[in-house]
Amino acid sequence: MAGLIEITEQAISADEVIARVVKPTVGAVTTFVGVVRGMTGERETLYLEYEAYPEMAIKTLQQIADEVRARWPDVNEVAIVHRVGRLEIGETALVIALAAAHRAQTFDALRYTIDRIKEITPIWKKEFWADGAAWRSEQ
Amino acid sequence: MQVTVRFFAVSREMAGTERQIYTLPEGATLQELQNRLFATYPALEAQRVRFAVNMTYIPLSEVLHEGDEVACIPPVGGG
Repeated sequence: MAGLIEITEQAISADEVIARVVKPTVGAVTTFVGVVRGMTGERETLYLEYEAYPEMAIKTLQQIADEVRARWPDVNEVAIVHRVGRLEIGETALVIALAAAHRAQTFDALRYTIDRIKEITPIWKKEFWADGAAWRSEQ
Repeated sequence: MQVTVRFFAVSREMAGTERQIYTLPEGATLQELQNRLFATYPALEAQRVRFAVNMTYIPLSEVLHEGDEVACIPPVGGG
């Protein structure tokens, strides 16, 4: 079975990532699925390319998972799978799955997880349009 | 001493390479390496790059060591 933290060039299935965190003590799995958006305002994106510093990205995602479990002790499993390489519109770029006995803490924890990923994880995104391309960051 | 610099995303495109070996005097800091990089690739300076040494973000005042892996980290955009 794949680990809970993964950078992959293969297509990601949310169900498959959820299956990694389910065990008998789990009663709630809260997920975030990031997909490739084709339209940003009026502008059409043709496809994206994601690039990672893979060794550090894995280390950083592991650190984020540790932070989440420390801040929200009820969250006992954190799976984060990020795809890299060329992605087409509508494909899944990221799946986060948080598992807990009960749902209460999972929503804040999920929000924190995606915000931290966007803040510190060394992964980059390049948008390609009909008339050009650019690296994108929310920082 | 020698350190390896790895370039990613926009910095990789600007440097035209994924990695490069730099020879620095003993006791050189990350700041000194950054100065060399910005002198070689002036366009990098406007990119708000951060640097990680051996996969940890460190301040520019830190001293580098033989064999360090220094990564040039432009603003990230995962998710």
